[in-house]
Amino acid sequence: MKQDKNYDALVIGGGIAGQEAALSLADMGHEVLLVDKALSIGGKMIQLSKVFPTLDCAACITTPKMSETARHPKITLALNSEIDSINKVGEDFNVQISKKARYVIQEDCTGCAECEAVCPEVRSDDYNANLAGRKVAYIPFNLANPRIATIDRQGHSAPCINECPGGVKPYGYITLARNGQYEEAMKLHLEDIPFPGSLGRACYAPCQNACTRASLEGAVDIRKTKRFFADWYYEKYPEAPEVEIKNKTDKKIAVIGSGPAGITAAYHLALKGHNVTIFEAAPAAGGMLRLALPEYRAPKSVVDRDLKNITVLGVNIECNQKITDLKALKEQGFDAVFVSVGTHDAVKSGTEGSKLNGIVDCLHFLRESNIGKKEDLKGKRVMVIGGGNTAIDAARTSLRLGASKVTVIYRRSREEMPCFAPEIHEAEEEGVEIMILRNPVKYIGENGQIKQVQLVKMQLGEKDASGRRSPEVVKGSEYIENVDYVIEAIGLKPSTSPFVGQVDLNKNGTIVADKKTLQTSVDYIFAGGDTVTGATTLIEAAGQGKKAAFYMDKYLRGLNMLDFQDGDKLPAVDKAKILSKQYTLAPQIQNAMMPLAQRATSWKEVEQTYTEAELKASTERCLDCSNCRECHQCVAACPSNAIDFSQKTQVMNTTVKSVIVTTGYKLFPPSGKPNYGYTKYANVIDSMQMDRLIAPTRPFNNVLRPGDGKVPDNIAYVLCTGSRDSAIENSGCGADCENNPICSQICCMYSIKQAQLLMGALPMADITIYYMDIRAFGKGYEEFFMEAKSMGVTFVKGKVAKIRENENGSGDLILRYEDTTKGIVKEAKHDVVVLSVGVVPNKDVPEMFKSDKLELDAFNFVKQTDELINPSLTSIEGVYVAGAASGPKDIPDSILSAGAAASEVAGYLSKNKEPRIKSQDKKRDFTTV
Amino acid sequence: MSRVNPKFATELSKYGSSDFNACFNCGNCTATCSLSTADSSFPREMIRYTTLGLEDDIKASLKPWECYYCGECSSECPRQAEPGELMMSLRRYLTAQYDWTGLSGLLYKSLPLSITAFILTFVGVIVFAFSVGFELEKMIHFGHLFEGIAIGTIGLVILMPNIARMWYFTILKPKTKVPFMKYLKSMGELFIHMFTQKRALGCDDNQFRWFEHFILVIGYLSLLFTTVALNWFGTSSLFVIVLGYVMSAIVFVVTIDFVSSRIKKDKAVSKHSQPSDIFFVVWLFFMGFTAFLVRLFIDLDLLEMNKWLYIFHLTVLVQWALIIVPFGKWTHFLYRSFAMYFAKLKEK
Amino acid sequence: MKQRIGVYICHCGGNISDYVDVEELGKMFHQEENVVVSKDVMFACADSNQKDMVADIQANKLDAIVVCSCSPKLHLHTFKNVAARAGLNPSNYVQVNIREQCSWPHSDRPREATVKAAGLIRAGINRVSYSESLENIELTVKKSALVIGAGVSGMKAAIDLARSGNEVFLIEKDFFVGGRIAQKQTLFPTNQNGKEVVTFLYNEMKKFPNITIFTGATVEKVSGSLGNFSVDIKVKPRYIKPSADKRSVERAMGECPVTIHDDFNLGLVERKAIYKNYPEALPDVPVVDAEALKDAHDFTSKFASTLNLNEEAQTLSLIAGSVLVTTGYDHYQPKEGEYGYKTISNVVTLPELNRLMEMNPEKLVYKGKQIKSLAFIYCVGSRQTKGDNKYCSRQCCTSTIHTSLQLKEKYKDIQTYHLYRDIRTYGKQELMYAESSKQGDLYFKYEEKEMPVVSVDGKSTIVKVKDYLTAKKEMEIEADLVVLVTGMVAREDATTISELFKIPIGRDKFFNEIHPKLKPVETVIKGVYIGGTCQGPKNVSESVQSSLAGASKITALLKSGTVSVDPIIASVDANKCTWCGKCSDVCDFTAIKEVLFGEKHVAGVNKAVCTGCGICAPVCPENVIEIAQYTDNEIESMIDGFMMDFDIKEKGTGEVVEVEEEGKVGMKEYPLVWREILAGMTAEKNTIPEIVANTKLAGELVTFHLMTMNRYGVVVPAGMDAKETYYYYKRK
Repeated sequence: MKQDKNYDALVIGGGIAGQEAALSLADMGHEVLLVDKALSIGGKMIQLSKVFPTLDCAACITTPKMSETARHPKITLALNSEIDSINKVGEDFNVQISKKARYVIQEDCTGCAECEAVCPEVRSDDYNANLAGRKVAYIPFNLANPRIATIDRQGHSAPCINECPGGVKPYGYITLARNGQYEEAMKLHLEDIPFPGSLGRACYAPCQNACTRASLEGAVDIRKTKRFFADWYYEKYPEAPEVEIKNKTDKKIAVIGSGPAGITAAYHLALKGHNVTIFEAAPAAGGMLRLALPEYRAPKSVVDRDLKNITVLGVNIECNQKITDLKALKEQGFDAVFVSVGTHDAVKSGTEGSKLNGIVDCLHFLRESNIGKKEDLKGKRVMVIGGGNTAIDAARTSLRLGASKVTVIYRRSREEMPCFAPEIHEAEEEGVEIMILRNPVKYIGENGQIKQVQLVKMQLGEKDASGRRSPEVVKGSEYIENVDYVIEAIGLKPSTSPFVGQVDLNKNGTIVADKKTLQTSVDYIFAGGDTVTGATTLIEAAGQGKKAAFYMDKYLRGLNMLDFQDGDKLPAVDKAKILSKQYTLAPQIQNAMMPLAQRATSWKEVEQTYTEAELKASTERCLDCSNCRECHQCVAACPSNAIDFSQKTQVMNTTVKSVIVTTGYKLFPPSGKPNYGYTKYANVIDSMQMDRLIAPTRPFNNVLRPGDGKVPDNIAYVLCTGSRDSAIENSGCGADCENNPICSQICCMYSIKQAQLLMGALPMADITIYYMDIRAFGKGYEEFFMEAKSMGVTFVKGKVAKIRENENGSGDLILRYEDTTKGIVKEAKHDVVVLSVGVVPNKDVPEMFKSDKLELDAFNFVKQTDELINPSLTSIEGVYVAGAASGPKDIPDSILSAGAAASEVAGYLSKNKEPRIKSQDKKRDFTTV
Repeated sequence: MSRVNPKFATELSKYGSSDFNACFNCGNCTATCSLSTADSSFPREMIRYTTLGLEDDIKASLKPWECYYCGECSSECPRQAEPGELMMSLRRYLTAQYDWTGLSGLLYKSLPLSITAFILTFVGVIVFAFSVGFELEKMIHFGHLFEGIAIGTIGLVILMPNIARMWYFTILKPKTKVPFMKYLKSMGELFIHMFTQKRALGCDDNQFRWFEHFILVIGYLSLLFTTVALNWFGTSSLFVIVLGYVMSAIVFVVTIDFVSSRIKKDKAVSKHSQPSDIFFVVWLFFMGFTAFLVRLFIDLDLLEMNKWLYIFHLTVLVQWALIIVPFGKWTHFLYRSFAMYFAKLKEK
Repeated sequence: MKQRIGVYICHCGGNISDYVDVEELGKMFHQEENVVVSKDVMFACADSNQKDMVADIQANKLDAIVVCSCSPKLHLHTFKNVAARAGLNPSNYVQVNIREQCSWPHSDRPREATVKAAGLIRAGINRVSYSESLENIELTVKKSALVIGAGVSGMKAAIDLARSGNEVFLIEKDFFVGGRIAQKQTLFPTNQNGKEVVTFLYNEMKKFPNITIFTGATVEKVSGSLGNFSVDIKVKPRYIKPSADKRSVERAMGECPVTIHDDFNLGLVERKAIYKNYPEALPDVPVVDAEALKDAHDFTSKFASTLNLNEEAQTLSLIAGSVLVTTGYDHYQPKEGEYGYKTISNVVTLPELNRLMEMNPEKLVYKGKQIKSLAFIYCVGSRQTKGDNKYCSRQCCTSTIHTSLQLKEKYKDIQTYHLYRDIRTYGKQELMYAESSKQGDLYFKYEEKEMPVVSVDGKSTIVKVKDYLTAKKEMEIEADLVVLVTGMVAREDATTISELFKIPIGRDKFFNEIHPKLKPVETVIKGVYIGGTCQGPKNVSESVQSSLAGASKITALLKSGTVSVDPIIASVDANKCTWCGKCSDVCDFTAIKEVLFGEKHVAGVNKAVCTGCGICAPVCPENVIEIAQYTDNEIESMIDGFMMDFDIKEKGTGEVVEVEEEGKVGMKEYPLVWREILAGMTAEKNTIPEIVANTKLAGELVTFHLMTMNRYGVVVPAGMDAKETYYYYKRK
């Protein structure tokens, strides 16, 4: 939260009244803050075609005012912003404003609309009254001020994106892959994590658990999708393409450990322009990717290629370099250090006899088979102790090393096994035996060589702290099994022993790091991955690396890290909403596997890559959960790099001396009159839609009716739709509509205006206006009404009661009404019916005022407490109202009321500060002369 | 040229109309009404006549009878002027105008008077019962006799002249020329509407209401026939006895629904109940129900108790025949059918 | 001569480009030798384009720009500001109006419209090539405002102006403040008492030492201009000695033997020749009608110490930086015989009824007869298709209905009839209409072609009306009083004010603002503003709002003490001037005076006063007067430019101009439904129903997406079908 500068006046709402009030006050020299929820100033007027009675083009009148407002040195705009609270403190008001993220850097955007061109998602366009579409990445409208783009993320991400600890965008790359844009999909992945090849094979894919489709027939196979495009890309680019890095810095960073966390951190730091060196203790880089993942799951060639994504950025990986002195690195000139040494120390069971030959720890076993000397297990009975991923990997590796029998011993039940179910399943298929609810009690050897294991049966007791039911020994159930080889896969612990005394460590050996920034007790040392969390997963470690890089960059640039928040995720969309849409069933796509018979003897990959057809079928199962796909095509297209998905809502606090409420009005929702068939019949439109149809900035190339694109030649206007009506609540229109007994003041005139414009656009068209009283009361209005009459617009006195669609399927509409001057009920056919909807209050206004109550009138408009003499006064001293916030008003009246409000505010502000000027002639008395 | 008479509204309000002055003549009611046609558009015209006090035009109009009060005009009225209720009030008003005795008007306008009339008839029945020494058989005998005589007398002395007056107001006075043959040819219309209320089927609300009405009319007329012509209480024919049970059951079962909706006021049509509306349905209910019980007690031989029950039944019967049928809402049934007939005559 | 000119030709959405071939023009002027930049733009006024222009000017070192768009009335300042922001002197900017002058009037002949536009643009380019850099004239502004008219608008504006720190002079023609609201007992919608409001405002003003009020004062002479208006006012005498004590004045009032016409009560009664409009009228000093008392020698001599019938009017001179005119309105006065006015005894106007109601607190009595029923005839003197007053008077419907509610409340047993054309109770006022009908007021709708007729039938007055609400039935209404609902008309003396200040008058005879939305309280005379009903009919609240809007403009104008104005004024080449005085004679603004130039007498222009109207230039026999921005060179080159020949081809017919050329990066993925639609476009060009038939998609969906595809340049329209019912579309 930052304290912004203080203002003389806060104007809420950037419509014509708000702009006028702000400009008037600013011209008088007051500092004005103008807040609007919308992306642009302009309010409703900028949507209009032309305005009565002068028929000026609304855009032509509004744009200069918008321009002047936006550019006035005394006016500060806060758009896309909501006012959370206004509290009166003494004479002043404390205002809290939430400025929502546009995901576009305002200063950098030039409004070129390249992002809009590439965005693949179409949404209904509010500005065009939903007659046509716009993209998710869009510029609100051509004349918007400021004319900059926005990414319409609607406050949520897809569940898969939200779930990924590494911040990868599955929904984004699924849709790109679906469209054959494999290279783009890869690039999207490379924005976050640099080793998609390995992840496509070995990620445990939390995204898939979160997938909305998982609650239907099964999740979209996201991991295999990733593997597909990674393989496709690696085949196309055996060497990583050069990446141009802008803004190179002279900062040097040491990364200790080349595992997932280390390489990800190095990757992001290098992308930010820093010089990174990775120190790896092992003879080859990759950490667990290389040491723990067996070849049949992740071929070493893929790991090598993944690593090229990092080295191509100029990151130097030095192997066989075990770092033990962190301070020495600083002395060598490294500005910061990232420790990600991983968990390479095995937890020993300490079971009696564990010193016997033929008992190894799992990591050692895997490391040896991956990069060292493979153990010969031909014909041997192997027992693996543990139920994690490494245990299963060890078991399957043992099979491939020739073991005759492999048994996995796990002390709880199958549900509790930490290993991912598909892998257990595959292991069993290959012949691994899983023995649950067992625990070794004693290793029995002969000649120092393991021969037997004494096991005990277990049962599940109460839930323990981890939420799992804790295993209890079944007394007296001990028995003996014969074995030749035992692999203990009980647990791993961080390899942090050399750093004791250099940085603070936890009891379990992990490094103490700040939860947000991953900074350790030493300011230039950051730590992440398993080193901090204990043994987890590849993607979680990678996520930590990415996060550390984000904050290390801030640290290196001398910024306050706490001012920043990493990541660009939003909360997951409500799945129920997605599922409520109808979807046809589509089962998961199973891809080819290596034939079972060959598996246990081969080091080749068990799982095969999708074929292109399989990929297509699989990706098309995606339910398109969130509004924005996060495919980042806009990011790629933006010539000025203005798109920033990591923007957050900014909360701003400020103090103002006065407030002007110019929040305007809402249009009556025409569905509140079900008899008129709005939404039921395509060719029943509301007046704002018609205004859009005839505007110079119209969405169509001409006046078309929305049902079938026909150029209408017989148009009806139904006035008083939702005005002067106390029967609305009887229509069963739901909770959000209310009776509206007052007249909306503008509908007669805007309908006449539209009729005149339509006479121009469609000279052959018949136009009929059904009215009760024509309220042409303003200056020049009656004359304008007469003009419409003389142009041939037909006026029929009678309120339309019902509208139905012609039974012949033509899409024409039949209106039933009484011609009240004749006293006869009639029916008339029209091509298009325009509902001249009324004005209803904008109800969220009073919510903002927390300390004092902003009173409303009987119709929920802001109450003018002294309407005659101080027309803009409200129930709160210092708060004024102008425009349609206090009741329906046409544009000239809104502008005048805004001017009046400005005058009253100026008076209010001056009472405390400016001394009054003395009379020109002191002798002259006040009264009469 | 018509002279405006704003006092008429005050007069009409005594017949129950409520807020028709609120009307701003938008015509929504007329266009909402599914019975309203280009040839006969209402109810706004009637509202207008009423607000301006154009009595002659109102009396000459058959439109109030063409409305079957589905209530849609009232629930759609943007000024909540209750056009449907106005039409109802006009029917009461017209009933009073057609009635040469003037009693209808007095009873509609004054609840105390209605209650007095009910009490007087009750006293009459007690006096009569006393005069026959509370002997059930005699009471039933005279009761049966009374029914026959009352129907004939009321019909001849009151209803027939009233129909004639209705004809005078709506056909003769406005100088509508109707050839004699047309009177004969259109006769069918009268009976169809009398027995079926066919027109009400055109209403947009549920057809169930029409069905209820239809079986009630049939049940009521059949019960009348069974008691008067077949002497239900006196007969020993099993067929007649069963017929009577069925008919009386239909009457009181259907009226239960009507009474309850008047109490609940859940539909526009039952939102504003005048005493005359309540009397009509409640008495109809009592009539069916007590008739049912009287015959049941006869069959069960509970004679001592039946004596008092019959006195109650007879009271209801007498009040029905002397108050509700000639001067109350019952007449709507008659006038409405004739209105359809006259409307047919007026057709060109 | 300018060598690096930038030309921008605006589409104005489709306003211009639908008819004028702007792309072609853009290309055409690119070839001119002194034109460096020439392009067509979607909305020249849009912020993004303004940014582009600034960049262009700076990058190409432009020395002048021409924008060809709409009327300079709308955007002259917009683009001058663009020039200024780019560091270019704003005088080196010319706006060419190709919308109001080409595309709109010649929409039936697009080719000719384009030719005309080409000529105008060429003229503009030629003109700008002779433009000279000018600096704005800085004027010192007096921090004082003159408010004319002390009605509710004027008083309220005076208070706000004073609060904001300005010196205020408020002058009122009448001897008492309050204007029309003092004549109305209750004001809608708040039911406040009009006189109490006047008293409140007056007392409020009294708190400000920087407000000076002059009553009985009229404007006599105006000179000067923005920042320094010099206004002579005449203050009429009250004929009461300043030394006279209050009691003797009251005695004189009580004993005054002469009565005169009571203007305040609209002549319904008479008043004494020493009077106040009403007992609480302010300022609390009565006025003497000296003319009426001239023969009452006994009386005047008795009160010789109190009265001074020889008192003279004073003339004062005020200096004001700005002027707010709030002179209000007059009631329409029906002609004799109009609905029986003046010929039938019980026909009055609504304002008269309002006075009657105030004078009759218990029972409504007129000419000795108690009134039980009233018929209001609306739109008297308003909405005349044949008469002078074409306009609607805006507040009379509500005013009448409000009066009707007051009548019922005050006198209970009363019946009103309302003969109207349309009831115009806009906004929340509608509730009053509802209340009125509910209380039993009867409404009749008449049309202008069949007006109601008021006649006398024996003792009663009958109004006959053909009622459009009863199928045009003829109705007779008997009413004790017929009330003509008269509208508002411009003040009788509005023309005097208009001539003094040069404020234009509209066809409705009210003062005219510059633009109802852009400049709603400004007049064409800089520094002179209008507020309240002198601008057109308004109710109280609306009048106050408009005068306050004026007050806010004045406060902004006066705040800094200086103001800069356009330098478009006359200049005299003193070397060649021979001082014949002809220019001085014709100048309406007395801006040219004889001055000494060295030894020589020459014409000198007062920069603050000159409006640049140009009348002096053609009368000069030596041709030594030039008007900045309209020099002979500029004008002559414009004519040459316009007369040049242009070869412009017919623009493709039927084609509608594409709305916008979208980005360079193509769309890689079309939404599924777009692909379906494209698959449904089987012929070369297809109508929407054809696509619907081919795809089985709903017509609504196809229209929506096809239009979106059109917007993003995936499809384009390709003419209409034979019946001109549907457009064709084709793939781009």
